Amino acid sequence: MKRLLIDYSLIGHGRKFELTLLRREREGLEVGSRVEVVGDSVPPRIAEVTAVSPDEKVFEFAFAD
Amino acid sequence: MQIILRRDPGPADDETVLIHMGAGAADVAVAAALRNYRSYRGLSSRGGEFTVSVFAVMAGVTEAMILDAMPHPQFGRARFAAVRDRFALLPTTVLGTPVPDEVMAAHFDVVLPAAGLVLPPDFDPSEAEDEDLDGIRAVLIASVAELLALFEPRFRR
Repeated sequence: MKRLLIDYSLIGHGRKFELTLLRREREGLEVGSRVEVVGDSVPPRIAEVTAVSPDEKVFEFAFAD
Repeated sequence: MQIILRRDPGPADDETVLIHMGAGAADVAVAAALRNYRSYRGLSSRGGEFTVSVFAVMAGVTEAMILDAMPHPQFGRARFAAVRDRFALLPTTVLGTPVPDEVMAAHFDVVLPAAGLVLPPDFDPSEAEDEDLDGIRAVLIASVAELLALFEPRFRR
């Protein structure tokens, strides 16, 4: 499972969020893929890809836990 | 990610407290700065900006409101003047986030100096090969370390 470092300062307590992913991060990800999300001192969580932008750079996630 | 620049001169009082959420992990800040770089192209004379989010305790936004809006168990405080003396700050509102509007109204981006980096105007980290990003990470990690040191010590809530 891929591991993504994220800044929760722009997510807060939201259940859904969008990220622009770097080339290596988005390899192999598609709608339905699950990733481990790691923030700065926030315990790791699992999130699922729910949508991908047409240019395949911006991914929408929803926390799965 | 859509960002607007507020008509906000920033805190009137140099003693105003800025909050950086989290334990101060530089790698997390650098990862976010790379991801969001291009979102700042409209506010930049370059193709973007590398930034770190902070929140100001000002204009009716209390420290408790900021902390309640965030999941981080740790945070750091710094005086506005201490940060402004060493970094540029942009009063920015990031649209479409789950962060409450009243807290987002106190959001500022600290612009990370990227001395030595010469990037083309159309540089897009999301299109770059990972090995090409390593040199940028190395520069940013030094800037982030300098910034986050201003927010020491970290407090648990």
